[in-house]
Amino acid sequence: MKNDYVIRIGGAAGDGVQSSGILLSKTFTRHGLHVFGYNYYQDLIRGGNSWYQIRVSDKKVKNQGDGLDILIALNEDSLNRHTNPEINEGGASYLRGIAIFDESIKNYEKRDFVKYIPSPLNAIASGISKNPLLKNTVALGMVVSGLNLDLDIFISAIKTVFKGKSLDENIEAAKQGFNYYKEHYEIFGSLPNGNKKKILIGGGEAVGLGAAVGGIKAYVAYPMTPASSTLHWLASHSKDLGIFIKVPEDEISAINTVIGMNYAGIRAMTGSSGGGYDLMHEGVGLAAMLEIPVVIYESQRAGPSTGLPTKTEQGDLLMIINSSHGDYPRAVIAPGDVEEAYYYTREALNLADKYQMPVFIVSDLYLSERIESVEDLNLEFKIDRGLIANENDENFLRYKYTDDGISPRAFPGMKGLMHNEDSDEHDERGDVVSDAITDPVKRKLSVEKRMKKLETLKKNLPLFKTYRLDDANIVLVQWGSTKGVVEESADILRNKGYKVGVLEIKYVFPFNTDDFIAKTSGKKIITIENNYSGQLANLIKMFTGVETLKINKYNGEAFYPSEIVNEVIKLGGD
Amino acid sequence: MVTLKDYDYHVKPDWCPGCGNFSQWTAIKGALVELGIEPHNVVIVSGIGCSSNMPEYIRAYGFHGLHGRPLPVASGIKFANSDLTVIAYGGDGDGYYEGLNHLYHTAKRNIDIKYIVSDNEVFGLTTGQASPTAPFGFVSKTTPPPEGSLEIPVNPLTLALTAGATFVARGYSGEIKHLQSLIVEAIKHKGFALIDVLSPCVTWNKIATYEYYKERVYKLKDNDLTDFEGAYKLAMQSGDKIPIGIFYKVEKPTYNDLDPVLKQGPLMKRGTEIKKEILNEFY
Ligand SMILES: Cc1ncc(C[n+]2csc(CCOP(=O)(O)OP(=O)(O)O)c2C)c(N)n1
Ligand code: SF4
Ligand SMILES: [Mg+2]
Repeated sequence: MKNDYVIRIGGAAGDGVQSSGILLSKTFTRHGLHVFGYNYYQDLIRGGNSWYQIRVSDKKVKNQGDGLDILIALNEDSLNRHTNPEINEGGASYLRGIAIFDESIKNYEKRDFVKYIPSPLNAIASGISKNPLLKNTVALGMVVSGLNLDLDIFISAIKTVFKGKSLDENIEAAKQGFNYYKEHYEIFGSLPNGNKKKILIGGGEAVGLGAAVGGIKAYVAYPMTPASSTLHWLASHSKDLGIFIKVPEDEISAINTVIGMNYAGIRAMTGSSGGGYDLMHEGVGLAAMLEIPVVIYESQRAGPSTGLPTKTEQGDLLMIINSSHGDYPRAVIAPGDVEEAYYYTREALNLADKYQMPVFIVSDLYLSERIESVEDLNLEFKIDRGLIANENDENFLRYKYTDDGISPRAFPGMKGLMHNEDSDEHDERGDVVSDAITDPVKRKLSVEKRMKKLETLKKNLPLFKTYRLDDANIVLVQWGSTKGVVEESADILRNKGYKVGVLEIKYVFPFNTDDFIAKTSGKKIITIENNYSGQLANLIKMFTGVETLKINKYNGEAFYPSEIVNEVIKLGGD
Repeated sequence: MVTLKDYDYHVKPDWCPGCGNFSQWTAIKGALVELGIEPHNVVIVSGIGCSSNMPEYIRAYGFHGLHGRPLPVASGIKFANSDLTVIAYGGDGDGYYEGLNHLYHTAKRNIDIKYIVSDNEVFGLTTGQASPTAPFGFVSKTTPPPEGSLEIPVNPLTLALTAGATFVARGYSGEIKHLQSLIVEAIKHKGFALIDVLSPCVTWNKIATYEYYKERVYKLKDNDLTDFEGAYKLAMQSGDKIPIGIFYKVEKPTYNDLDPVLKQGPLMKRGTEIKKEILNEFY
């Protein structure tokens, strides 16, 4: 029995494509099914071509999936586009299944691999009310019916999304769509029932939740896609979570404000995409110099410059690792999916406090704007504020030279610990050694003190995660958002007889050279990245001297499993 | 009782002898002592420049950050812990060039920060280039003769007034007691306060000298502090008569008073409690 379906809702911006996609996804997770949803859209408020793709299964869904089984086409263009075998949508498949669309659409090219279901979407909707978006719910009702799912569960999902008058209308539209399909068509497919309701959460929301559980008291950020979903989620919970939200005048202000907050003793975070992060570099160096913890969420989009604001890319890695002048310690973490976005964000907050350095959570549009089903999220978390001095400690030295490089912090308001934190080079006490007479001895010790923290961190970081790597002779190396699609590619290749496994780089920096060599030596190494130059590949080469084979995609869209599988075979998957 | 000794730090200023910054150093410490504020409750945040070295010489919590950025840092500190007395400090290059954007927005937010600017009309630290307050025609390394500077100087007071600052004042390094009284009033004021301090750079500025100011500076008396237009007119006065004192002072809610999360008290004093129900919206 087929247990894995790809559904697409295609239309123009303003057609409610995304909200319909999320509603259908919620209906699936309430059936206990697993879901992966991704929005394909442009930087536009109305018009254009956008679509939402949902993949549903009773097994964990790791990516948006190849193939296309059900299409809801909200306009003629979408119907023609998604049924065209020559489809040119960055790797997306064309429809081989059913197409649901309004009966008024007549002008389309007939394909024999498509079952066309022209339906009275508009007629049913306008019989209920003037709300133009109601036809979407009619169409969703048809899909729910076609997949032999439960109308009541669909209605329960509607109840959490709509309120008041539009709630009643939407319930009516759902019922009529559901019944219309049932009366006129055969069931299209049946999904095995899942065992338990799932959480449905977006990548950006997961970062926000991780930050909240990780103890932030403030989030200060200037809006920029695709980092804004975190800002929006936190803002919507500002009051109940007691988290202060501020949109300042620019990203320079954002990073400096957050540094001021962490200096004053609360946990505070900022986030942006590449262009906004560009403006923060000097501030990040300041945090490093003053040894003030700060967590920065960087969600990449296709660059350079404004690039493709609504498309994905992994083009900022080396920039982040090298951003801001001077030698200084930092940690760069790249969660691989929504669940990891939650867990690694809260962990990043502990790491920042413990090591008193900038810590990055690196995501991208593909992760920040996807939604995924998750079995459960553990909300229990031990906040570790790191080393803090005792009031009136006469021996207090803010930047004491220690074996591990970590020295105690003191917050303003604490008695007897007054000191200066300085962007000029300083000694153990915080006094400047760069002004009247530069002190080369202390300068050297202070550099070493800061850099020691990187060595300490490296020793304490977990080893790289692997997937089916044990007996593999080919290792696919990935970082960040591509985790799921690379894992599934390995599964497909295994089914084809290739011995493929995956190495997942989550703690990208500091890079664990020894572990990388231990886990890859003797194997064919292929790095898979959503960028042109192979930034992880270059990093690996820099740290290990190993030259990898490369699979790169940089047209703005995420990988589909078939693309990776084909490329691996081409690279001689023996 | 708090005394000047409490603010005495073992590192002493290395400004040029006669630099206007010394008076401000004295006046700031004097004001804090006069108000009986203990050093551990004071944060002095600065940018980069000769003047911005200030926190290195005062025994309090000091933050010597980036050129142009003291205000965002100070805002962050005040948002995090409203119990602290937060003084932002820097030069005219720092505050009116590199960081001007922040001045406007911090002022209009009425964040309870005291911003003191050492205004010497030059970039002291980088050897005397024309700053944003340098007069039209000012000759320096970067503005050679005969034209000199081709920019109309920034007027920090009218700028702050237009932005919505609730306390706007000008001091003069040649009048330490007067300057101290301005700082005392600024700290007592609940809200954002700008004090622009005319501060001779004895090394690089041969025009705006003590002699120059001595002939021109006069103290405001009996002006209506709540009269916006009157304050604006006074702030436009220049040339032969340069007023010092408080130009404008009104009471308005601060950002911390208005924000629904901040008004519940210092963030610094709150714990984290996440209820299981937070996950409900995701089911
Ligand atoms: C981003 C940045 N740009 C430039 C500089 C170099 N710089 C240091 S101080 C300064 C100007 C200082 O002038 P001002 O703020 O008026 O302070 P003053 O020395 O006159 O007190 C400049 C341009 C810097 N430190 N950082
Ligand atoms: S250069 Fe000017 S501003 Fe700098 S310390 Fe000397 S006198 Fe003061
Ligand atoms: Mg200056």
